[in-house]
Amino acid sequence: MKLLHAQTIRTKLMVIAVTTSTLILLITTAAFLSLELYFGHQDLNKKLTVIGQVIAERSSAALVFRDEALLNNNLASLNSDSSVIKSCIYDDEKVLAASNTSQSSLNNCPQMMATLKTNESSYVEQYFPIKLDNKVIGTLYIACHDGDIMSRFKQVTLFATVIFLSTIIIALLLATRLQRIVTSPLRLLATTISNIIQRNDFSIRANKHHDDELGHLADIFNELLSKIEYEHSSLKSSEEMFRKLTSLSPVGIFQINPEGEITYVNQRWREINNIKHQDPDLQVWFSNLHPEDAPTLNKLWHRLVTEHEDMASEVRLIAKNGSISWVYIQATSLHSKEGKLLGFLGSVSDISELKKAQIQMENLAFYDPLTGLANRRLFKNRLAKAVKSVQRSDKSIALLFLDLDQFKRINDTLGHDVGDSLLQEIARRLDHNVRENDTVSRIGGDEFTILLTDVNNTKDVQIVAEKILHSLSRPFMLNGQDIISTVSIGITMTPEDSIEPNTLMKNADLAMYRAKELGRNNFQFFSEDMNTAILHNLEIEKELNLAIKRNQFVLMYQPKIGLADNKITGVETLVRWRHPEKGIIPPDNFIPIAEETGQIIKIGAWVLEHSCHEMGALIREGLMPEDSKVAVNLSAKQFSDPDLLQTVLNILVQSKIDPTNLELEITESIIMDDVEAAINIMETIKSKGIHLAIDDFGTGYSSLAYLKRFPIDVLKVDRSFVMDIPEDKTDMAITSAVIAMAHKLSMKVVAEGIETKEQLDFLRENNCDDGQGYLLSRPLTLPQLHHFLVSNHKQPDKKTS
Amino acid sequence: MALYTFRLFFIPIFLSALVAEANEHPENDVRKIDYVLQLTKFIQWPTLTLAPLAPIELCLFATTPEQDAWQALNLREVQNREIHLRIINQDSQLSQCHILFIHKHIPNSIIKKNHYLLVSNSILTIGENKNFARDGGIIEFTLLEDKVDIKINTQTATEAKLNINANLIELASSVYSQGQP
Repeated sequence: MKLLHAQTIRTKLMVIAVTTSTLILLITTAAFLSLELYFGHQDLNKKLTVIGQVIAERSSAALVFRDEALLNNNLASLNSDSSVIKSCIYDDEKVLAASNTSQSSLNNCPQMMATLKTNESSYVEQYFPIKLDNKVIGTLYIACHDGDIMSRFKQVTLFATVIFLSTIIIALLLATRLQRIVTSPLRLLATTISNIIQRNDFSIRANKHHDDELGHLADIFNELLSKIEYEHSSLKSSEEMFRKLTSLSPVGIFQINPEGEITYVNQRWREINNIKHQDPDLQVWFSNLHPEDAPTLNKLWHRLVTEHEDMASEVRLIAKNGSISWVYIQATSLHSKEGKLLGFLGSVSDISELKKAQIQMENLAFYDPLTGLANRRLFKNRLAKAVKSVQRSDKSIALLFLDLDQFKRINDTLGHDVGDSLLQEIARRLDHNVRENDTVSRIGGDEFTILLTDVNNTKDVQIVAEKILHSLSRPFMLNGQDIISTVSIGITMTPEDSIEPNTLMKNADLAMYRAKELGRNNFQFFSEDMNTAILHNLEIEKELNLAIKRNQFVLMYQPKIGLADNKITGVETLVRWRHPEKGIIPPDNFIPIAEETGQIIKIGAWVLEHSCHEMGALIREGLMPEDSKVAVNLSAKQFSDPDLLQTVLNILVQSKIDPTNLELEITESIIMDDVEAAINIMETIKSKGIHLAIDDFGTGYSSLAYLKRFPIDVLKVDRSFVMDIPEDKTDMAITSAVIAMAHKLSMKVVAEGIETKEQLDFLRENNCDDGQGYLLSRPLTLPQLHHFLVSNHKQPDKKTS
Repeated sequence: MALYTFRLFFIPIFLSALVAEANEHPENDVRKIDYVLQLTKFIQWPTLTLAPLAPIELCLFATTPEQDAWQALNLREVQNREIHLRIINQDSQLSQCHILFIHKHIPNSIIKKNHYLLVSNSILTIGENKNFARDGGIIEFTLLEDKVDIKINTQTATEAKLNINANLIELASSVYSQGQP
């Protein structure tokens, strides 16, 4: 079998076909001949049986009656069959009664049946009982030879042999043909494969000659070739794409074989590693590693090589000129489908810029990018640490909260660049005025904090605060001009005020506001009463809610008198809070809180609604002139409320008064917070016919440049200018100038706080349009106003006199 | 009546003759009786005459010598039937027989005389006299030295509705079928 396996398919096919045919033929022939022999004997036996039975039957009477002639005659009938050698009839005593033998027979029938030789191999013998009346009366013995059978058998064998040999020859010829049919396409297929391998050309195809299994094999093979060709092409394209990608890649790519030799690097890899050698060496690359990073990378590399564990690391490379660059290296192992290690593939990215940015980002996280000072986050960290630290010593820490005074105005007037420069310069000066271990930070727009550690007492802190105020009091030369900027400082200290960082921040903030309240450009230490004020404000806020709901506000009206004709020109509405327990509360005690909490919107709307409603009634009654005005103050919150205009218009409709009868008073400071926005709002209001007045003019910082852009109808001179007339010549000059300037800008002028005859005369002499003050009339309740107006109608000259 | 008288008159004579002859060749008597027995095996009676398993009545005239020898046949079995030996002395008794052996001393005329009776009763007649078959007997046999010669009248057998085995007929030296051998 091994020998057969070693043969070609051609030989195998032939051997198998011929062997199979031979075996089948042999078996068939043997079976056929055996059957022939068997059936020959069967037929002979059958024939013998039939003849024997007939002879035995026919011989019964002859035997009984000893008719030898008849017996012999019966036996002689067997002579016609040449195969019968001898036949004998024995009587019931087994004595020969008759016999018949052929000439060729050597043995005659013996006298006694017992001596009859039987079982001769070449004989076919049979004994037939001769019966009469169911009793055996004798025995017929017939012996035949099988010569005819054997003769026929020989002939058949000869014929079968001829057929057998002929068939073998035919089988051989057919096998030869069959092997050609089978092996010829296979040889062609093999030749095709050989050509493909030699030429490495996957476009070659096998020829298909027939539509049989081999043709199908050729089809499948061609399909396989198409697939391989496509895969090969894809692989080539992929490889080409990989080469191009790697050549264009901003990432350095390298490939290393299992022996640790670099087999491929792209151009970027050379650039990053500054290696120009044609065959870069891995060990050389490793020698460029920063000494601090080498152990870590060596460890990761070892794990990659031994355990095939992917690695990634940030390392520094030292160039020949000593410069250090950061790279991010990643590498992984490559394996075949069978798991065999093919090598390692990796990338190297230059992350120097990233690292730089990372450091910058870290700085941004803790430092203010504009000033370079610590930011709120870092400051809070240091404050928390300092608080913890100071609890273990007898020292204190001080927290200074600084807020620039009027910084917004500087920003608006001089621009943000100047504002930024100012902040930078202030930061520099602040930093200059503290010790190295103290922390100066910018925690928001114009807010700075300073953390002073190792403080012995408040005196130390006071000295620092004064130094800061002094330092900042010097003008800042920015953009070619001197700028004065002051700060308000709130100071709190541990452990007296608190040992909780957030509370300390809040305390310092409160103290800073107190400093602002006290005229700015000063410092204030935190005290408990500041907290008390806060609590008071909270209580007011709570009660204001109830006051709004329970309608506890009352309106007072202070008439405005035309100074030229002493006629009433309008009223200014003043709001009072009639507290059920505390009595009348003046506006200064609750308006700032309402402003801060936003409750002023509701209160303002209420004031506006009632003022318009009541004024409308007075005008319609004829007690007020048709062109008279009711002046209502607007707070900063109300002014910036986007619903303001709609609210005002709705109230005008409801109270049925003309928009020209309403005058809204806005303080100079409200306008100056955001001049451009204020101008837009004022123009919108003005477009509806509503008059606008600047209240408390002279206390703010409005410039003439802005003033001429404001759509203002009335300018109200602050009482602080009026009150010192005629003693203060400066105030008189300012008042006179303001009146003249307003008139030049087509504005009416109303002087507030007229309390003396001299003041009235001065204003009248300077052509001030209207006046308002105790001399003319105190603020009046509605009934009082009603009475005032009625009286004024009856005695028009009495009042002004 | 005449016949009866005749018989009585001749019987002693016959018997004495028969005895003398029998005593002369007693082995022949045995052979003869055995042959009769064998002959019986080749005959088939009609069922109406011989019911299945019914005994075969073998009749001998009372004048038949060696009756003792014949006794050997009594109760022998042939064709699964017993043979009952019956000695008759009147023709009227013939109807009781199935086989009638007629000794050579008895003339063949007795056959002719009782032809109807014998045929109608399907009686196989076996005789020793010459021309017994030709004269209407069914089987005539003659003992030779070492064998027996048989003649058969198949016509009478057919009339008697007896079926004679072909082997026996083949053995017969003469077969009378139409009165002619």
